[in-house]
Amino acid sequence: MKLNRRLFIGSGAALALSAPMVRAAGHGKPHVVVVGGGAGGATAARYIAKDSAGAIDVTLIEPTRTYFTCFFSNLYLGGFKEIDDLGHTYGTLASDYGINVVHDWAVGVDRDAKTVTLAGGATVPYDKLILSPGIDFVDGSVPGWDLSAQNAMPHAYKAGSQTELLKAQLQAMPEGGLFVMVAPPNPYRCPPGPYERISMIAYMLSRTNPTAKILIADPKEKFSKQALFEEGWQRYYGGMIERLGPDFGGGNVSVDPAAMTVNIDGSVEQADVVNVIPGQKAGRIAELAGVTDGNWAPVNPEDMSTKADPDIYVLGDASQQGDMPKSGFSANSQAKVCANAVRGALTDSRVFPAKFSNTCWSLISEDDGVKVGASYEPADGKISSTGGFVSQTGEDAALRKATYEESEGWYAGITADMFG
Amino acid sequence: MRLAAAIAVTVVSPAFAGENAEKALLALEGDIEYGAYLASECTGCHQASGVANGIPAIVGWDEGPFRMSMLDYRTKAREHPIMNMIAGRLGDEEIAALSVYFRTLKSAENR
Repeated sequence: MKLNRRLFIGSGAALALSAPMVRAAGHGKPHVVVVGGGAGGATAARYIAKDSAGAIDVTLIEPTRTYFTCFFSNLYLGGFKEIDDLGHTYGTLASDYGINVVHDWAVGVDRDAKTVTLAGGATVPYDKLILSPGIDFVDGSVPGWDLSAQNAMPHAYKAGSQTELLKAQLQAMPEGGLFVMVAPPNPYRCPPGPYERISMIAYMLSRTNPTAKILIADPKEKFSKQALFEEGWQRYYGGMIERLGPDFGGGNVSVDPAAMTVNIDGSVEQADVVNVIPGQKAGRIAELAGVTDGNWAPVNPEDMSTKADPDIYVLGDASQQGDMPKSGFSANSQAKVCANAVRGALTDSRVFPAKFSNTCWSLISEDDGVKVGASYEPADGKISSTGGFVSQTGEDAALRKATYEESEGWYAGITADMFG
Repeated sequence: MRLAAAIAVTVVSPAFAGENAEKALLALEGDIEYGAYLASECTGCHQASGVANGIPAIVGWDEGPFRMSMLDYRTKAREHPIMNMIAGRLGDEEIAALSVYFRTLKSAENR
């Protein structure tokens, strides 16, 4: 079935619709389809539409009408943000940039016919396909946990209702109760994310439930910004947080969601709230498109095209690109290199050398922000780091406050860059 | 002559060399299309609309001050970890390109 106006209006699946969308690839304007409306996909769609000035038809396929950013969702747990502060819609991308925004799930890719199939049954043709689906979870990563247990033991690693659920559970925790986080193995979305989350939960509990305890079962020897987090935990939340690394069985964990227990290397903990952040892999559409190798989609560092198919690009968390961490900042950075290359391939516009950058800010306590970042460029067949920086332990309060304020500015900046 | 020139180079003072670097940078013609591409690295943080809340606005600047500011970040005369990293890998051509592009953007207040 080909996509047509009647189908879309009838199904209510389209927020915006224009006649060119019904044209098959190869007729009229070139057509770019973007799957996933997060930091990678929304940015790529917006830049291609903006810079091609109507020469390329852009369709953005994203199931949710309101997108909640995973970045800054820990600040909601800490009480520094409202959930609505994290929600963004696609109206401006449709109205101001002419992007065909389709709220549906992409469930298949026919690489020979160059079409994407939607859950609603429609088929969307493409000349270039950009996949930015984020993450899915590896089955069996934490024995005893699967998606059917996500209400009892939320992952809260895709923002929105899961984040709200985790916060509600934390708020309802009995006095002096136990919160357990099962931290993920590498590589995963947002390397400092679990530890910023611990900081924000400790911030909240230290005010509402100061005798509560936090236990982290962690399969990793070390983690992002470790010295900075541990310094902060000691300073602000002394005695509340305990982390068991692999030397103490943190890598040998199973859970029983019905009993609310966590088994750490044979020692069974009765928990009140459990946050399981499982091992991760590329969002499923990348696998369905056949562009993954193992858990992730290998890409070429010059333009984010996949090793498997030169007309399919993968951005952000789902990609296996080299040295960049899986972060919203990285996805946004990769999207702009990809957009420039895709536009050049379809319209002969100038293509400039790829360069990338990333910065991850984390909040440890009120007005105590830290950051880590690096610059990158293609080298040796991958995206390679060319230098970076990280906040230092012992920095003064004024600098930490300035770093936090900078992170607020970044949030406003990247969301404007994504959603217009 | 070649030897004399080499000697002359070695006795140039750092200050004089700095002045020459500034003059060379200010004299460059910027490639606005290249600037638009490079600017996409900036606008993930500095809003293209000129709205500033936590991160300064950089739109609508005159080219001279923009270029000198980037030069200061590149040489670390002005310190900021992110800006030193970003500017540290920009050549004169890139800074000139960015300056002509950002000059054309109007801040939200001036539209």
